[in-house]
Amino acid sequence: MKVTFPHLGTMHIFCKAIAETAGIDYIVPPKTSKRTLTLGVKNSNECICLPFKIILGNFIEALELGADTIIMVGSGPPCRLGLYDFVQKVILEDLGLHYRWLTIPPRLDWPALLKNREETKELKKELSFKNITTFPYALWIGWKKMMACERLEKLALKVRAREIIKGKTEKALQKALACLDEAKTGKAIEKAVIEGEKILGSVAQDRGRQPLTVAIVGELYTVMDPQINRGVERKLGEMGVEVTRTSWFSSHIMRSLGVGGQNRRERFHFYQASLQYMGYDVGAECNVSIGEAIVRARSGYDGLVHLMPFACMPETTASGILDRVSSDLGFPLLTLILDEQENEGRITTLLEAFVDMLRWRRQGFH
Amino acid sequence: MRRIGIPKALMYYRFFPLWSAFFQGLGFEVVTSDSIGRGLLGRGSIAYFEDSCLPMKLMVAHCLDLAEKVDMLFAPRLISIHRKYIMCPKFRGVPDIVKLATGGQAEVIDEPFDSRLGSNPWGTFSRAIGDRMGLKSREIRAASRVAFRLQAKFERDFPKRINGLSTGDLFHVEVPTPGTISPPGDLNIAFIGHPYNLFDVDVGKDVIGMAKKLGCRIATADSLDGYEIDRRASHLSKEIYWSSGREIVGAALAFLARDDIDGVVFLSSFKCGIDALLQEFLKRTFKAQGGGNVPFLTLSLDEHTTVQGLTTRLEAFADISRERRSRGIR
Repeated sequence: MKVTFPHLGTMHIFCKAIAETAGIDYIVPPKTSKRTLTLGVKNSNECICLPFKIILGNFIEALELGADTIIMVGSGPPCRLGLYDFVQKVILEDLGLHYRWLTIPPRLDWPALLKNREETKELKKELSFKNITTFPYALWIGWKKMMACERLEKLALKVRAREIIKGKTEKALQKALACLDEAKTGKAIEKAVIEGEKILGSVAQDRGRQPLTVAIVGELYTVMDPQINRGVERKLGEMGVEVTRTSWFSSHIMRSLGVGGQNRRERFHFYQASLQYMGYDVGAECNVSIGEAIVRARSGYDGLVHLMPFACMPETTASGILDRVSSDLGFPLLTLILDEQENEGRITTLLEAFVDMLRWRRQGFH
Repeated sequence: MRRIGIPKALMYYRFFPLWSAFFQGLGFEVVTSDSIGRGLLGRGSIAYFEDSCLPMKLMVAHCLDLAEKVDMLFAPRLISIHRKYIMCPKFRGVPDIVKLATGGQAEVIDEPFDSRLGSNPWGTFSRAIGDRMGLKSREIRAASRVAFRLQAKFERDFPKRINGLSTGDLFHVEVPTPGTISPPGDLNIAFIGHPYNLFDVDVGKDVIGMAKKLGCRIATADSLDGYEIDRRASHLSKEIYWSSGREIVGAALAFLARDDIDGVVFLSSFKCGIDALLQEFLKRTFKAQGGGNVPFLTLSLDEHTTVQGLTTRLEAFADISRERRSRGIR
């Protein structure tokens, strides 16, 4: 049995850790490339959202490398993510690829367990006793690694905005993450984090700089994955902007598990703020995007970048309303709609213009 | 007499008889918007919803058209019209978008309708409307009763109306349903899609009318047994949680299993998330289950769709279906 999973930001680091610790064979799909995207685009249609295409491409490439079990997160209504597996299965079958599919249910309840019963039975045959007993430990290691990744990434956001030589932070972050990737035990992870923080700390910084502050909101996949958003976060950082985002793996996992007080309170706060424009919970990140925009505007941020895949259902509503929020509150907003037709220059140019505008605003031009 | 506007968009194409009879029963004058040419569409699409699908843009255009003429605008927040399944998430934001677009010209009736909550969703919904307007609950109940009777009759007659009336007249309640006429034509073509794609002349450019002219008898999901649709959709590996998506997939599979259907046309609107996903599923399922023998045509509709473009495709499709039938391929 060879397990595979889609790419999403730094997810491969801790998914790998889980599989490794539990002693399960795995294949990390090749890094998302042009080919991945082309495969995804070829086998779907133009109005399906970009994450679908990239995930599909990841799976096709992983299956070509010999993986046979796909693990995918599930989700509930109303967003399309909940039916990704349903349609992707049909597409992969049509392509003549063979696989076994496991969906991690968004909420652990009886219907979810019943739906996955067949697959679980199959799996039981292949997993050894040792695999199963070490699994909780593996999950713990995975969780720890995920938190460590996020800690490093969050630190990098701060450092990047103040770096003196462009691109140094990115290199340091990659080095730190590679270091973390090597760590096998809980202790080693803690050590790797301290080491990583040291590496990031050694980047030459201009501590006196007051960077612009920009919040990134929008559909979680486009916000979290630098391959999909073409490194918006990094580009902004290298233009001297301190980026904030509230979409992290931990926040989404904790939300779906119903734990993590602070994080949920913050989300609820955003939701409450959005109610003056939206009378109802539209689902996915729509309300949170709008609410966060309002909250960030009030708390003195310089601007907001809204990311969404082309034809994303909840975010389309959000973008219509965000325009209004932005003009009502006088809060600069840049909406980036992403799909497969993308050239490097477009996003860079848009971001440069946006940052220039923010800078003028700060200097007092309106 | 107070005037209430019902925009001719979205779920108008399913519930208009119910809504209009209900408000007429309450003593309102019901005003519907005009059909919209290209000019008005421009106003709607620039306003607030440029990234959305055509039916949603039309909703805004219709509301803008109506807002000047009426006191109240009926744009309910349709969250779910089925006990278990939900509507497209865009429907949840409709009243908010309409409010922003019309800028308070008319009061927007935006009561949520959610069938998943409680046993009597219409009761809750209509009471909320009654409370807003200061009406007695007895009046509401009486109006609802009449309206439901009318809607039930309308839905019973609907398959006959599709073949007997022109698409523009389908939802004119005052046009009587034609008697039992055997519709002309030699092909049985099934049309699937959201009701507002199928029956809105501004979205679909009257594809159904074109098909009739080409000698097709039309079958839609309305002519199927609701139980059958549900059964087909339930056998799938995963629950499709949009009620409209379920209806589309269930109906398509039911038509696929029937012998007397010569072809299936799927009308989808560009940028519709549900359609995009299900289209991929249907296309491949038709290939796998129908052995690639059942003609399946997907028409993607947007504001640039032209009648000529659709005619060409439909003609080709009708030719293929006819050929297939004459050769007896099953």
